[in-house]
Amino acid sequence: MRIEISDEEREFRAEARDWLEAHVPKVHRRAYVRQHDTEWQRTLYDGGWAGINWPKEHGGRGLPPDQLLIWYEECARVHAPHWGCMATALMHAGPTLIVRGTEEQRAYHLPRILKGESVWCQGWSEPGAGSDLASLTTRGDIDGDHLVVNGSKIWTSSGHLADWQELLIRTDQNATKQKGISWVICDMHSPGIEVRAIPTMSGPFDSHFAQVFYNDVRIPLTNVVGGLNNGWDVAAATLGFERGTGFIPEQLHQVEVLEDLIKLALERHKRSGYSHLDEGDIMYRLATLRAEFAAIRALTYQSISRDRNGTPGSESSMIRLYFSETLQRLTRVAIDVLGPRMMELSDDRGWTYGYLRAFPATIAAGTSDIQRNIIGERILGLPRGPKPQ
Amino acid sequence: MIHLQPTPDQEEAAEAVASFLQAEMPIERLRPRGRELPLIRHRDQAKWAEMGALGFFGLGLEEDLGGVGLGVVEETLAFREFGRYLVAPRVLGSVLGARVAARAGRADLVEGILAGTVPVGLLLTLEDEPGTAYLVDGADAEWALTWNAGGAGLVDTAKLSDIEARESIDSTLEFAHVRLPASEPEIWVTADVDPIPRRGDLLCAAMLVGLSEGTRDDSVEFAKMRKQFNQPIGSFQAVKHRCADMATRAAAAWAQILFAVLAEKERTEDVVFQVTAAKLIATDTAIRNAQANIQNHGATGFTSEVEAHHFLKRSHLLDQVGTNQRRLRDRLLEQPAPPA
Ligand SMILES: Cc1cc2nc3c(=O)[nH]c(=O)nc-3n(C[C@H](O)[C@H](O)[C@H](O)COP(=O)(O)OP(=O)(O)OC[C@H]3O[C@@H](n4cnc5c(N)ncnc54)[C@H](O)[C@@H]3O)c2cc1C
Repeated sequence: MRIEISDEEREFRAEARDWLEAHVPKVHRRAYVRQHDTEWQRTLYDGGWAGINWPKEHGGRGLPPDQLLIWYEECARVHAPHWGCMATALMHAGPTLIVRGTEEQRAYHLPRILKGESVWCQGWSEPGAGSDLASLTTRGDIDGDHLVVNGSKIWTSSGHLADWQELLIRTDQNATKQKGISWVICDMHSPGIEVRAIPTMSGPFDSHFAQVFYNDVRIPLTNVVGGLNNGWDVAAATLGFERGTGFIPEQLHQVEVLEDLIKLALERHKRSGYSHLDEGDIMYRLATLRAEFAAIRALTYQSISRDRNGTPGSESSMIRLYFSETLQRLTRVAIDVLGPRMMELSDDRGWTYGYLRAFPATIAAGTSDIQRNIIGERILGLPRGPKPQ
Repeated sequence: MIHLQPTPDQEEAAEAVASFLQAEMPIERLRPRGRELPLIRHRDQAKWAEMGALGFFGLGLEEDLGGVGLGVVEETLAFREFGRYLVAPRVLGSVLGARVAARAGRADLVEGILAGTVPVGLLLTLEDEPGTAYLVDGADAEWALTWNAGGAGLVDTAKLSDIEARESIDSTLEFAHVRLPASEPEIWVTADVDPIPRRGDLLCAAMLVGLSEGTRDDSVEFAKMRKQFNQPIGSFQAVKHRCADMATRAAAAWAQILFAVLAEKERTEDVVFQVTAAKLIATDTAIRNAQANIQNHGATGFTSEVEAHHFLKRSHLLDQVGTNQRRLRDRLLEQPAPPA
């Protein structure tokens, strides 16, 4: 237990701040527009900031989690662009290839990811396999030196924008559920792939994710990562990266959003004519949120301290659960502050958009119910219910 | 003795409304068709004259004024069905607009409004930008309904200016930002002549309960059908308990609405308290049930390919129509405790 800010960290923060202030786009650009996200990644690459926590031998900067956190904090401070559609490449696929990929796979993909030249998506969930991911049925049958893939994936974020996909398929039909799965690199431009963008509730033109259909798609066996039928284990490694530091940028960003909301509430209070009692309710909720976001930050520091020498444990489920539900309360206060204005969908930075966009926080990446199951069973040791992933 | 169960006679009109809506305006009408983007504005307009001809807009209006001559109970029961089937919110414009016109002695207007051939939009005034409002479902409307604590009125839409189409989160709505005329609405009925604002809140509350029951049923049906881990997700307590909470909240809200409608019918001294409580609890229930319903659907609930999002957005709209939750809370605490 100590606060110890080294000169190195101080210098790193100053360097990051200077660079970001000079390079962050002055006008906000919508995320999940392929060109916006890849251009920002290229800017990071050219400035030497791409993959800052990736090992040096794989093109990164090899920085420890403490400095990664400083980098994220500085990014949040100046509203730097989010990963957007680069998220899977940077947070999932790249790190997974680093620990489980072959030399060839790394040599081909890692530089393209760092330069913002290739967009990845995650093809895990299926219409019939959501929370129960291990029940997936999209199959890959070996034919010579290829896998022939048939089936469908759904909720694939940026599936309609991506070049590559981390795809989980069943390659052994006879093995038990988790045993017959492989993690493969799928070229999204392959013949036999069809992608249907799915409209979401956050706006008529907001297609965040897609359904992907595979009809005799041929994938070279050299694209298997971490060994055939070993995909469940590789997928656990992939999730480890997400659960470790993957959500920190979003958490820090929301702290900024909360502070903006407090300003908005104070400003509107002057002309609203609401009673003190009512203002008291808004104030109560905002103050509680401030404390809760402080706690989220503390939880994050704590888990980084704990994991300095290892991979994150299941307490990441607690951070995820606490953060996603706090986020939904935050966006809800905004709605109440706005009054009838909340019915207008003005732009993608609007409060209403933020409110609608917060709904999947308790669904994606393991629903809040599944997180509660994990906390109950893996942390508290309560008797197991139906087996979560 | 207080009897809080509608009689079969009182339920008859709502049953007719429900069977019409089920046959002619099923919820699935709001699904995007084929490759069409989910901009599905105004799909209900085609049915308006038919609904008018069936008397749906005049259930609670006296016969000598052109209405069906039933009471506030029948009208409230019907609005629960309008909510359940996500009928366009301009149904409030038609029903309350006819009442305003009738009370203001504009028999010439009443007939067209009740027949559904003179559509009435809704105005949501913007307190942070005085003199302006959102016009909801009003592009083809000659009149727009507005109300506040003091009374209710109809604004001639020809007198609105700076009309600017905007995008609403509720893609079923026509939505525009407008400047209101400087003068008072030409047709205005003060609340002491007829407490139309209170009736508006009551009808909104009934619609909100309809929404809450709609999401309850949607969740229960989905939880029985959707399987994960080889079992219906409704067998998991997380989901089962959420459904149970949805049902319990909806039951409480509906009971309070019946109590409020009785207070309205009998004009009891605590009528303001009861109606305020009814809209407050109905709004809270509708929003919470809509949120829970999305969660129960998993990723499907986040798409605009199922109805879950419509229920959420409609709940928020009805919160803002008439008295919103924040003002209702203030009002409820200002009221004396109801007599035993
Ligand atoms: C915005 C968004 C982006 C996504 N991006 C991707 C992506 O890029 N790639 C990808 O592969 N997937 C992605 N997903 C899918 C996500 O992983 C799944 O939505 C999630 O795993 C839940 O599965 P489901 O949607 O099928 O819901 P279901 O599993 O069908 O769950 C339905 C309901 O049942 C509950 N439930 C299920 N099982 C249990 C249980 N055992 N105990 C208690 N409650 C339970 C759930 O909590 C939920 O409320 C994304 C989802 C969203 C919303």
